[in-house]
Amino acid sequence: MPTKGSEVYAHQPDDILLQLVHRKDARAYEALYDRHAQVVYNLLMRIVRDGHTAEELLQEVFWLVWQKAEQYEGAGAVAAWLYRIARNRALDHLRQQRTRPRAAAHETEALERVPRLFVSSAESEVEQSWRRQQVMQALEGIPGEQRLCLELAYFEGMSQREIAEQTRIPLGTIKTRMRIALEKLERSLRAVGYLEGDV
Amino acid sequence: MMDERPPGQGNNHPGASGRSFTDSEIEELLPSFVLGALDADEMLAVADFLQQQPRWQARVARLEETMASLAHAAPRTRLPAQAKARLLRRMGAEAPSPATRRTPFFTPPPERPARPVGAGLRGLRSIPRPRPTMEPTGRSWLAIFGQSLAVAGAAAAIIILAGVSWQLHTSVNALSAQLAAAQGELAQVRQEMTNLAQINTTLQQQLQAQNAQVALLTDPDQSIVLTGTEAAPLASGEFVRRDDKGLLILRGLPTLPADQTYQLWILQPDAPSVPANLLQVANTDTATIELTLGEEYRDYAGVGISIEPAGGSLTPTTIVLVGQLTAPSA
Repeated sequence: MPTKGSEVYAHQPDDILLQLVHRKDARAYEALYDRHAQVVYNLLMRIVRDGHTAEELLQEVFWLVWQKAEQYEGAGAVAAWLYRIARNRALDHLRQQRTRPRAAAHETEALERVPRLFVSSAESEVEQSWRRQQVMQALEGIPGEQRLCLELAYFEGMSQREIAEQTRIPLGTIKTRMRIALEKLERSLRAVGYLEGDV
Repeated sequence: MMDERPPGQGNNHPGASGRSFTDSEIEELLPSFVLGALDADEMLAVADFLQQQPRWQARVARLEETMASLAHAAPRTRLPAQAKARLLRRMGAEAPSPATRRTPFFTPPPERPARPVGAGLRGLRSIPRPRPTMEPTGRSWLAIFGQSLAVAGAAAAIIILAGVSWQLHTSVNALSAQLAAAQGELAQVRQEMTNLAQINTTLQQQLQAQNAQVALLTDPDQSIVLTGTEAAPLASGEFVRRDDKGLLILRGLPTLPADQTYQLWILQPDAPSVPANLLQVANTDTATIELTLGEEYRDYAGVGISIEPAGGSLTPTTIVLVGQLTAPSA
């Protein structure tokens, strides 16, 4: 049960919370964790596909936030900064392992059905659900072959050349598909207000 | 439709590596660059180019935010419940920073960072949240945890001190009881020593008396053998004298009723017998009685023992033992 103080922190924007974290304000840090840990963990699990590894990386990412909050330079959203750190850590881990077992599709779906036991706050939950819904709808609007390039690059850490080799599609085509896919995603998210700026 | 583009599109922009990109080329490469999907040499070239051309940073930031949105496409999975606690424990183990220790309950909200050019077109748009005019930066959970820990520590210290105090109190009580017992024993021992001293004194007195009696018996000035009369034919005895000390040894006297007593008589040569001591004869088999002799024994002729009414008599009533000096006194 969050306290009143925690509720006040829960209403602060990410950049304010991060500045407070830089001052070693533990409650701001906790609020930031409550807001983003679930998405970060989902992302880590999607990339490394191992619960133990994902949890270790989650610890590593948020410990880095606590220790190095000042490294956020204010360019871009805090969430993007946080997710980028998580993705880079997870992909680095993959590159080190090189033996990651490929999870079957049903495994991912099974994970999808696991109920969430840890919910930080109702507002955070609603916001994250809304964001997830917008992203999923935006991805659904992207043709499959383009979306595949995006997902292989983002979640698997594959380069354009690796994607081209794996899919046996010309490198130039992969480059084009990847660019178009990301631009479509950007436009769609901007159109629904997910991202700031004109459509 | 599309967002703002950096000015100068179509121009060449050399980077420090010497490789230059046109605006359309860099626009083409940036999506793959932010995804990290370019070849290594291309990544380095673009990164180098962007360092030299900071006006592209806003575009890069927008693409990164777009890319970051893909995190929401990851399947939802259960966040380990212990992950947060583990992280917070790790924070708790870290030495508290001065900021954590001294954060006031209310401080002015930190100023938002200056937004770079083009920042209005980038960044995730958050669901509007109320912006408090004052934000609490006071005690964090860590401080509360620390305080709780301190309170718990203080409580534990109090309990330990109370326990120690109780143990000390108990020990003091036990030692006091032991001391009182020892003092009691000491008093008892002292009393016993006093009693023994008294016994010793008594024994020494008895010994002295016995020694005196032995001296009288072994080396007397006068000795008179007492013979039983018809009233007590089985009785016998002796009277010995040395200086002013006398000793009567009586044997075979009958036990008297309570209203009678034995009485000593000093026999005079030509005068009536002189009444002397009333004798307490406890043991009728053999009784030894010490006497202090006065002037009346200077010219006496013998001694006699009679039975008299309790309190004695002025004249003898029933003589039971009698003896005469056989030799002149020394």
